[in-house]
Amino acid sequence: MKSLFPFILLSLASVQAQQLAPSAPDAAAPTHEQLLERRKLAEAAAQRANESQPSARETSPAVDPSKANKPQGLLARSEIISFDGIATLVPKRAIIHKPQNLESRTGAFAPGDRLQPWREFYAANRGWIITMEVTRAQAEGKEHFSEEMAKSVANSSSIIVATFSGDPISVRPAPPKEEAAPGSTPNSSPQK
Amino acid sequence: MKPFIPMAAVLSLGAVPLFAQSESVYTNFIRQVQFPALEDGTNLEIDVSVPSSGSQLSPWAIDSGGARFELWAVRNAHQSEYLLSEGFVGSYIPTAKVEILTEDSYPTIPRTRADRPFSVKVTVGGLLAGATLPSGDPIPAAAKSVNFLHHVQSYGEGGTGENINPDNATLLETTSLTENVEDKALPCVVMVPASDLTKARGEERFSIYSLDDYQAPASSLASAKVQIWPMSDGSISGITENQKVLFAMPQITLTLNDLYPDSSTYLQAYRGTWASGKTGYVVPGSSIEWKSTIPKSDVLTLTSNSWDNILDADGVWTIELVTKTIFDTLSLGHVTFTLDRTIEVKGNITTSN
Repeated sequence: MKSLFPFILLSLASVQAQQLAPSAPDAAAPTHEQLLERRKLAEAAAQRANESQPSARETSPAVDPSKANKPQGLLARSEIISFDGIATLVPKRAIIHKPQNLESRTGAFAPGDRLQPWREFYAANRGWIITMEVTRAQAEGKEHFSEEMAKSVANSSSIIVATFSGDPISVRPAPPKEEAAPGSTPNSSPQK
Repeated sequence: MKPFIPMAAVLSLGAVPLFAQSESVYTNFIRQVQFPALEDGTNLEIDVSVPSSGSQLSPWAIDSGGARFELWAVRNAHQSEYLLSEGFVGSYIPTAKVEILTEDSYPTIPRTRADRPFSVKVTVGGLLAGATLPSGDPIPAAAKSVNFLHHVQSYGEGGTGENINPDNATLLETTSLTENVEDKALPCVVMVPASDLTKARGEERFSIYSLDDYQAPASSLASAKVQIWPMSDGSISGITENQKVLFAMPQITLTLNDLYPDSSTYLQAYRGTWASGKTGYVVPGSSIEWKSTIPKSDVLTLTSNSWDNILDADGVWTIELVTKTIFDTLSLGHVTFTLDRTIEVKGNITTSN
């Protein structure tokens, strides 16, 4: 067998070398000029199609809604909560109470922080974060928190995040007490 | 706005190309932004928890003002953020869908080559006609028409599209649509700008926007983009046209530029002069199977040993650089030469007699 070994290798190499190309070149590559011509034809066709309703199509429009109304960045509109190398984002003004001793866990990423969606992060940090379900009117600042809610917020030693169906929601500060409807209690001012 | 019934939006991530393959690097967030703005000019915002695929009802009913849903990917290490998709939903705002169809079936993002046509499939529903509703209330302009936008953006020479700023895209045209359409296919040619159109590389974005309204600004209802990659080119050096090769084959160099992200490229050799459509033997060591998200450029060196043994007879031979893609099989260059390995001994024999 020893003497056959080089022969087998040579045979394999030969088979590889004799492998036929999978397919023959079947097309001539178009040139720049040909592609330019195609663009011109497409543009002319679009213009013809539009002749019946000239106002419908506008080339090089002055106003671009994708730029004019582009959403601001997510991070700029979010508050960061982080602890032990993990961080999450909630909408700005969703944190309605921030005790002084937990201040350092909000506001900025720590170096090397890994991001987590809110629900995962909250599940792992229930010891120092609590949520408070708010109504739509409360979130819009049209209705004050009940006295019980306000007291509970003021006395809490945990970070309190306003939620709607479990999802963090921004809460607009309610109007000052004198403007509030009689009988209601103003909510605590959300952290900015 | 009473005639319009508050509705709930369905959040769906199934069709959105998430950064799911790099879960440890990117974290996805969906943010729901309510319209109109509150009295202080801010908008109510909710972080919506949604699994990485599937759909669910929005937690918050969408009333006349509407809501914008934004899908973001935030990169852990750099805290850089990417707006992957956005869609505006409103009770009287038309619905829209945009889909791009190319010959390449790559699933993550539609893509094609600079010379290939593609089509955009558009669906718009819920557009209303006339001036007033049966109730007598006027129909808002934003319920009667939408704008179809076409943006183009070059990645620049050698660009891959990473970290491009979509604000630098050029709005090529806007078309006002006033009638509902379903799956209307619009044939397109590549319009990404380039000094050499065979080398256009960039992306084209097609979006449908609602009209500016007293409740909400013009907002994206649907959007899709297609990536455009340049045509390949290449050359063979180390051997010249009509060269006479004696004994061993010379070392040659293959220069390959912009191989398509899903392509097979190889050097083939066949007897005779070059002719279009010929097949030959694949030269060992010359094959590149490129399956990626971006084009590739490479330089291969083939030594004499790697291709000497496939030329099994003297005579005229051609080597041809070929690239095969889903679109076609193209010749990138060829060289014809004459091989003459026969040793002729000229001499005479004499004897002492």
